[in-house]
Amino acid sequence: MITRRSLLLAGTAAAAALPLRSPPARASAQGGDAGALALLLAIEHAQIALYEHAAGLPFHGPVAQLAGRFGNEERAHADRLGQLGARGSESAPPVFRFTTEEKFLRLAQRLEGLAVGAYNGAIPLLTDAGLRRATAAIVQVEARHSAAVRVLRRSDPAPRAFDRAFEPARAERALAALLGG
Amino acid sequence: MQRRAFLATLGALAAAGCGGGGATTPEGARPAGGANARLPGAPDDAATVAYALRLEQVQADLYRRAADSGFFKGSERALVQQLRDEEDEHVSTLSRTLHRLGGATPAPPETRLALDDRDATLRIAVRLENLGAAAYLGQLDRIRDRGVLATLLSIHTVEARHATALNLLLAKPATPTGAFARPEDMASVLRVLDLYLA
Repeated sequence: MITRRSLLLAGTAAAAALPLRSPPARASAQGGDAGALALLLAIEHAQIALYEHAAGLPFHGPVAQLAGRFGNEERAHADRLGQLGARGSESAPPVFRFTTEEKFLRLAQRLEGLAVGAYNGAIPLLTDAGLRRATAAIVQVEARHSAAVRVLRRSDPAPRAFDRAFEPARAERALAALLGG
Repeated sequence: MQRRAFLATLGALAAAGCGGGGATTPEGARPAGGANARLPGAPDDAATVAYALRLEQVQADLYRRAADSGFFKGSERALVQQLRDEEDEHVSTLSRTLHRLGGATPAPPETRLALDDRDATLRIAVRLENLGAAAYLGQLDRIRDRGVLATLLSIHTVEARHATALNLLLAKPATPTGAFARPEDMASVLRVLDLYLA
């Protein structure tokens, strides 16, 4: 697995794609449904920051379209989670520094894959049926995002027959690592 | 179990609204109408798994035929073969899950798939994959067993991946319903599935 440390060791060019800081709060510390929702909201905020940064770069064609559309959809997810009671951290959102389509898509693939695993791990733990229903409608879209990014990268859209599920603490660590913590 | 018996059983359950849209949820569902409302479905986990298994059996048959058809070359053939293999894995896992829940694995249904050429095959595949993803989503909140729910979730998102790969191959949007996927109720899914059964 690529980590911020390995990228830094590998060279500054690769490290330049990573965010400037690591903001994720200890979402899982809240526990229960609230903790799960906070973690999912933190992931959505990271995705929003990613796509907003990409939308501000002179990307073209399908990559630019993807950044715009998926960014809008992640914002809708964050709004829905907020309506469901999710409370985010007061930390500043991550700031990404990538400048190329290749680095953007690589980060997008990792973040979308993490989102799918985090939702799939969190949903069975939610005690409220309405929350399970609402988050399931989101995770399907995250999986579609993941597959679309993989197709753009000429990667396998469905690399395994069963998507993984990350328990919240693991997902939180993965998010922190992805964001450079 | 024969097709008509299977469909009659599930259809009757769905039409009767067993635990259906108007049913109360002991957990106290959030206010959410339309696509977020609980949809009619099977009365227990075993019936839901049997329903999912039937969908997967039809998909697996589709891809087995498609992979042997000669319509697909290169990367498209590799994709079809991969979809076949993954649907076969879903069938195996759901069969084991159904057995664990006390149910018997139904024989694969006889299909009626008009796989006349590449485009016709892809059109059927993309319809069944998007239908499958919506079908899983329509039942996820009905599952009582946490392990069964985890299994169905892990398949649900792979069906969405399959649907997306095929959507893009046919120049359709990756997220055809926007930010939120739309569930489909069991009776509606079975009506569509019936179009592809002999």
